Amino acid sequence: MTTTETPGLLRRILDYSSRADPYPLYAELRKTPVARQDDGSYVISTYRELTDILHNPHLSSDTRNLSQPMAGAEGQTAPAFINLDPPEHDRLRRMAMRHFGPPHTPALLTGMEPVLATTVGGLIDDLTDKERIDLVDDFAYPFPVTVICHLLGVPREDEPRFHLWVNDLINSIDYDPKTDPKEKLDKGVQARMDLREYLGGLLAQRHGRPGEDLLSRLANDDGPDGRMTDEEIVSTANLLLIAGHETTVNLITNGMLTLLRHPQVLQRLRGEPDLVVPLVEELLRYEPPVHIIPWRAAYSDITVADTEIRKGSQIMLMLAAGSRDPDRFHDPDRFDPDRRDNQHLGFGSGIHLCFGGPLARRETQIALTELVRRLDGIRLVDDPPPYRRSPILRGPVHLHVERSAG
Amino acid sequence: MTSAENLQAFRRDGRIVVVGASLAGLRAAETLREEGFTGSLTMIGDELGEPYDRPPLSKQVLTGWVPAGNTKLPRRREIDAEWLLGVPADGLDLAANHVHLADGREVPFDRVLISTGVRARPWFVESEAALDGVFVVRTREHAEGLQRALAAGPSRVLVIGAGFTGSEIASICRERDIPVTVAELAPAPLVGALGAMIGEVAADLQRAHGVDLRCGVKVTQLEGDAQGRLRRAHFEDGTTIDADVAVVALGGIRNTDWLRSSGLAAGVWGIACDTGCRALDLNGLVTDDIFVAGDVARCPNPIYEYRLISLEHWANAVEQAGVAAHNMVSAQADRWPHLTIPLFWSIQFGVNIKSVGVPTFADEVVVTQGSVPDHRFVAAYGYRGRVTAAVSFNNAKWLDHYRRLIETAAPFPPPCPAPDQPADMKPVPVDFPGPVLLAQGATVVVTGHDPSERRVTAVRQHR
Amino acid sequence: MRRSGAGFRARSSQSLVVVEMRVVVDLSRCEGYAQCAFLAPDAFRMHGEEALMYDSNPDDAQRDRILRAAAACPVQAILVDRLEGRDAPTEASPS
Repeated sequence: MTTTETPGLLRRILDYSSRADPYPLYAELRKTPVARQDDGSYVISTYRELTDILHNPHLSSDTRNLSQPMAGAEGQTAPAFINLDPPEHDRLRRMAMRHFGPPHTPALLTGMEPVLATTVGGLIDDLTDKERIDLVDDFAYPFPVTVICHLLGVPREDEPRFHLWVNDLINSIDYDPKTDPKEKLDKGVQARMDLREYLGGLLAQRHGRPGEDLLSRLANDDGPDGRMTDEEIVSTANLLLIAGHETTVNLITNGMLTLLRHPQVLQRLRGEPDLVVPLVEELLRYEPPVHIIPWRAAYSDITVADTEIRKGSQIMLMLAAGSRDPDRFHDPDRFDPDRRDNQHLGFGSGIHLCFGGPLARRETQIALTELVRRLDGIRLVDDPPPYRRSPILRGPVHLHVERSAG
Repeated sequence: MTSAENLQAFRRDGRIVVVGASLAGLRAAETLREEGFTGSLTMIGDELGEPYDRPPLSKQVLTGWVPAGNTKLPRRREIDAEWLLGVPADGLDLAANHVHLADGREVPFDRVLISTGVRARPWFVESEAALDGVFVVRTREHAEGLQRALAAGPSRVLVIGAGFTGSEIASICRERDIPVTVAELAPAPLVGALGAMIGEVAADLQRAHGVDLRCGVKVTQLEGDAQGRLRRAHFEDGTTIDADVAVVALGGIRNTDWLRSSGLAAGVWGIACDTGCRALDLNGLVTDDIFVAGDVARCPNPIYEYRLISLEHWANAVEQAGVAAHNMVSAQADRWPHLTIPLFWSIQFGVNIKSVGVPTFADEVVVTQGSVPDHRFVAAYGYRGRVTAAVSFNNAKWLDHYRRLIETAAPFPPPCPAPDQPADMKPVPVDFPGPVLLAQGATVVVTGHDPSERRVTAVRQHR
Repeated sequence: MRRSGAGFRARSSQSLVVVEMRVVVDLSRCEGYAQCAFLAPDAFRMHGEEALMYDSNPDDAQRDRILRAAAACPVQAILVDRLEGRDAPTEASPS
């Protein structure tokens, strides 16, 4: 049993004060690869143990397998595939994938590239004569939201409505019963219901009307696995809408922040646009948009790194700590876009590997290339910038930059 | 000179010859350079042209997508080698340290790597094998010929042998909507490699895709017409089938004939070596300067009771080549053992079949995850109560977990349930048709009485 | 050169410049994530849900997409040859 970790370390990581730089705490955490917490849960933070457990069929993503029920679980009528295990996970993900990628729809993403480029171009057009820019509100947020709305078939003009729900929902994910008022949790439950109702309304209009967007396709498709129920479609759309912008906004923002902190790399990217490909991979390792998978459950007893985790235990996976593990990555705290063998955990691993990863990659590649090409002479106003609350989906809430005169 | 100085001198300007310029040979050459070997490097290969990848030959090449000449292997780095291609080696002189080529030339070496691989086992009647329309698939020329024959729209293709290659070819035929008959001596496809239970699944898969699968049958004769074109095949029970293309997929023959009088422990079973890839001589003594890698090597694996195992696996060729090359330019204390867990894959009928470990080293098998009827599952193999292998059908993302089980000698059957529980979790006998693991045995003649004079004087293949 | 009996046209890196793409996927590492098939669908195709087939020597026009696909592979199983000159025996043959 490994219980040598510093008491309260996880609490310090989750505490907002460490949001700007959790990495030294991750290093401390990695000294105990599998750390048992006072409440009986486990935190895994080293690369090999993380990749092992992500391929372990006894690790469940279904919170109903936790021996102590999760706070705020009410209102979760039908879990989306991210919170399900095989075979249900596989079936629903496969049915959603039919309309998003290979093998059934392999050219969707490359076909979207002109839309991505136009959207990026249009947003940057509006920035070029501004002296002060918030790269989050003015770019990194509206870009992926426009794309995911287009993809799903959600009206872009409804964004102010679902933005609020998504915010409340995300806030409720890092609910802490010891410090948070219960209203934070209630707000999340309400937001979840509101968002579902909204998506359900959109779905109702799609039945019998075949269209190109994902909602229409899911509503009218009869593939080899049959058709999803309306409840399943709403859960899937809900997941993709949230994940489709809450994570990409962080990746793009973290990317610009990292580039502004590494001006030589930024300069290189300007002259060498191909660099963006390995650079985004390094970003996914070095400043990933998702830091933690908080609620996995031991479906049966699991042994990891000589630690036995009992059936029903909660397991927290510290992906961002794993991607900085010096036992796997040479000089892990260095941002090195030329890094080889960069098998990071930025999108997770195993059957739950990020569904939208390829889209997020292309969005970020195009966004960073164009931002760097068209906005010259920008500098950070605040370093570190203000961060969002969440330690799970971690990123700046604003990223203000100023153009130098001339 | 000390041995350290010798090694330095060898690394600086020694002579290394690689016999067999395919995947293993190329990767070994790259590793030699990566490790700082600056001496002369000679690549000997019997095929003309650059090293190319073979797995696509029975897959994307036969669909007509990728031209047979377009599977040239990418390079990891420059190797600055002299290439002697188009002429096979036909002898190895361990006294003079020469490789003999079939055209009479001799190539001297200080150290040699043997990676001559396997060739396709031909149809047993030479005149029938020569008929127009009869193919084997091992080289790109073979694949190109078969691809052209398939593109011509044959009325029926007969595949003889339902191992991995035969099954893959049958799959491509169905994809191209060509009627195909598969004839297999065993009770089901893939049985020799994966056992009876998986064999049944493979049989279902073939029949579900419209293959005319005939198991437990033997093709006895391929009959041609007056123009020397294949017309018909005869089975042992007297029945016949009309086909204008036949693919002989009866496995491979290790290319060791050229070593017959070399004094190495080489035969149809391959070339015996230690885990450091050093060849054994006839007496079973480890040699110093002769290394082996790839399909032709027969290497002990401690995980499998130190038995000598040869693997015709892509990943094994790459990894073993890396280990062999490292050891060729390293001092004894720095040498590595080749200890990886075997990995294999096959693509057929839209299913990704993967295996980890050695499925033939097992007495029982159990489905641990997923659904066999849906062709999405993992099966674990056990030998005397420990996990020794696993096979997945469209479930590859879990396989790494089973690799860990094998490495840690985890108990079989795996005791804990996973979420995707199959209907039946009872282990069944693995039921192999015969002791495949050891392949063909060797019969040797030992002479001498004193320990100082005991020697193996000859090796014969029985039967 | 120590070797006697030349008669092959051995090539060195200086004498041959090849610009073409070469790709190999270590399918024993591949877990079927299909990221490559998203990013370079003309060169990487899924055969069913999980099995990958690919073009080993694709047209150089697909270069950008293929490099993106290789970088995105979650198990880093895709090797792309970026050498522009190589000591390749393209015409080596007995004289």
